[in-house]
Amino acid sequence: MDINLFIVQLFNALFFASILFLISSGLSLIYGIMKILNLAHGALYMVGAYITFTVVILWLGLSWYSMVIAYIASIAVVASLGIYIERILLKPLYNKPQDLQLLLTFALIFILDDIVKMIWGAQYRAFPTIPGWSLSVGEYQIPVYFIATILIALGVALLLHWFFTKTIYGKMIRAISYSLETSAILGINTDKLFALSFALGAGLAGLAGGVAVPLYTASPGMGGDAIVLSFAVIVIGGMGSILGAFVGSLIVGLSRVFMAIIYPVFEIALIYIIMAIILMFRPTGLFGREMRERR
Amino acid sequence: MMFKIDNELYSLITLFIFLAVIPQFLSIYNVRLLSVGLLYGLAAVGFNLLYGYTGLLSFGHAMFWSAGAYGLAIGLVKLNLDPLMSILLAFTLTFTVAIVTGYLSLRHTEIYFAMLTLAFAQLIYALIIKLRDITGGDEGIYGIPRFPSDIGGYYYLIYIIVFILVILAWWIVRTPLGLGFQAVRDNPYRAEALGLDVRRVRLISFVLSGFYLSIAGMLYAPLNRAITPDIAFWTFSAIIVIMTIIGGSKNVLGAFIGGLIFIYINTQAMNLTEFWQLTLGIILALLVYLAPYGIVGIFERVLRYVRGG
Amino acid sequence: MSEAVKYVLEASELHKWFGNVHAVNNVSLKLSRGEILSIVGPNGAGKTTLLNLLSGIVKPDKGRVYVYLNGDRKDITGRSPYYITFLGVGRSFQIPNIFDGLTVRDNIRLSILTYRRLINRFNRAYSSFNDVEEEVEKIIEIFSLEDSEYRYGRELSHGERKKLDIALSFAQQPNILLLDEPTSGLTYSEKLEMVELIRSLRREREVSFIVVEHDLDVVREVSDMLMVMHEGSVLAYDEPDEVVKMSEVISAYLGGEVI
Repeated sequence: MDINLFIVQLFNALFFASILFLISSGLSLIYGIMKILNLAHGALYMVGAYITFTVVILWLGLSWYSMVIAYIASIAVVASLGIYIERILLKPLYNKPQDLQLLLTFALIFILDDIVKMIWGAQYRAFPTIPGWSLSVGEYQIPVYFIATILIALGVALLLHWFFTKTIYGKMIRAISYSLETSAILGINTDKLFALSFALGAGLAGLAGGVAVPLYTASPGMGGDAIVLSFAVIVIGGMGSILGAFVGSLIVGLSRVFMAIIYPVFEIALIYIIMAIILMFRPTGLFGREMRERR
Repeated sequence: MMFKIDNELYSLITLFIFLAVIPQFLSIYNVRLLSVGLLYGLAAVGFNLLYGYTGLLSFGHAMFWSAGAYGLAIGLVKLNLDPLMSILLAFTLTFTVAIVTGYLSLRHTEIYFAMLTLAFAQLIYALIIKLRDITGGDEGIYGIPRFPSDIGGYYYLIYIIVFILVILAWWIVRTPLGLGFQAVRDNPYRAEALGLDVRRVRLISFVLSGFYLSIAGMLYAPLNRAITPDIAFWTFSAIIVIMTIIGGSKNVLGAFIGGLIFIYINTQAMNLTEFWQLTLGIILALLVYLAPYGIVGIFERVLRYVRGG
Repeated sequence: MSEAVKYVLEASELHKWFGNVHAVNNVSLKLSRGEILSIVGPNGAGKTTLLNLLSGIVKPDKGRVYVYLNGDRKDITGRSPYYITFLGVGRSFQIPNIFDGLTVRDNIRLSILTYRRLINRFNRAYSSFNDVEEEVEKIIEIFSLEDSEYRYGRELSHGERKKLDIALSFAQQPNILLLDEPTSGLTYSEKLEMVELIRSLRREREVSFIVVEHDLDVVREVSDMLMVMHEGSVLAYDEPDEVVKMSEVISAYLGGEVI
């Protein structure tokens, strides 16, 4: 592979990894704190994609400020959707068996997929072009949009790091992920923080959808592929770990894109082989730790 | 050798008598649906041996359904083997998949077990998509021969096999082996201390459960005359879990009813509205709140109420 | 009586460290057939760790554990809990460790079927083995579990759970039972019942016991021998009356209550 192609593919992989990170950090966050594997996380990502598509293509027209507004709208809409889901649907299930939470989040996939179909129709909704100009690398092009996305993901990673280590809410959320009981005894309002965490996780999924839609096009069911790759990411990185989600995204992103060039038959398979190997030798994932059992 | 004939067996046999008669009054289309219902029921029963009885939540059971379906279809269509050899091929494939994935994933339990089984299932899905020459890739495999070729006749072939296997499951959970499953589910540490080989029990349950799914898949391929990779995708694994929970994971009857009901709800939702997924989703969500122990749980509650309990 | 016939279990100079904590410090004991040995001491004295060393759940850093089988002394140091169970050393747990989703009957059946190596059979109903059923009846009677026979583990009271926990071990025909606080959390009358139960098990099957216990009344009532532990070491190991005399000296020496 010549060096120019390599660079292009590297950016391709990093773009893909950035989207994965935005989705899986939220998924991991929610699991770490609430011990709920949110199967509907991919569906939230899909909603984010449709919101950005609507704001940019249907309303404001393609420009850098419309993209920013669209991202904010995606985060806001999906995060508030998350709050409703958590408060109304999940809260009554907290003391029930884990199966029921799983069942409910699976039902949400069906519901959200069809609501999206009702509003936007069943057809694929694609951006006419990738926003922004492109850089030339030899005979290849790298869209500046890729670089912007990578920067967004890095920014989010740093923000999350700051949030969890420096702010009181972040510290309280971490305390909950260690021990729910102790946190409650210490006077932490776990109830409120559950809502906050779910909203934060959902908002990240919304942003991921917004960032992804110019390339991946919006369609009902687009969440299905995304969620299962995110499972792989958080299992590789360690459930509940943001750093794990970051490294896991890189591993999945890079291995997929480069395997697709080297030996396409194993493009997807490699990801799951890596995941299985890691789980066998390090069940908590690369950066996971023994966490509290679910309540 | 004596088994106490209990309420569960009575209910199962009543249900099967009903299932033997009902096709006479149904259209071909509905008989076909009912056939799928029987197979879903069989899958749920098999899945529940692992989930409800042994306490392991697999998120990758679609791999066994597809091992059976693809094994048979590849044998019949791609390799032009006779039916017996094709069935043998499907069983060999299933056994290999079950032993390898079981051995590797059973080092863990709970969410990690679920994730590992999911990973293996997705791995198999990826291989099905990519190994075009053997599996037909995205398009799948068409023109799978069916015997007996009419749906009405094929229904009864399915019926007999499903009947035998469901009653067998009812039997197994009442044997020492089945008691061992339940002990491992409730308290693996104590079971180990009492001298039970927990890993072996789990592996037996996993493989057995896999064979149930595989046989369901093997019967499904000719019923449908064609198979596509959808049956290996994770959403199908999730559907297997969900059918079981809908019916009730406490016993064999519950899981079996879950499979039948799921097809019914699914079809009704599709017939009623263009937005069948929404309807299905809302029904599922309602079940979570109103019937947390499954449909069979409702029956039990009603019975207890009637008896004045 | 020759040594080998008289004794059933022996530990010599056991040591266990957890990091810097010397949890068990040079503990030796010999248990005779049908003897009830009680171990007392404050929390953290190393009582449960000692039971864990004897039953193989924790491996000792130094020292040996032996069981006597048909007159032979057999070294079981470092063997698996399962193997040690198989050699006739049963164990109950502080927090009752039973099968919640099975009825009391099925709990006991499981224990017997496993012990008799019938657990992998699938050609007969698990309730159809006549000799197993007889044994189940007997155990239910001995443990007075008749009233809760058909109830599920999760529906039992704390006292019933404790009894069932011991019954599961007893069903495997042990020579020795190691009981970790069998009366903790029980009401007064349940405690009396437990004492009576321990005595009757000894009577029926000549089982020997090592009992970790907090309740001194229970200890005086049942023990043939009494061991006092403190911070991993043995302060006294003698007949109960002797130890009680000594215990005043001990508490004076330590400046506080030991037991």
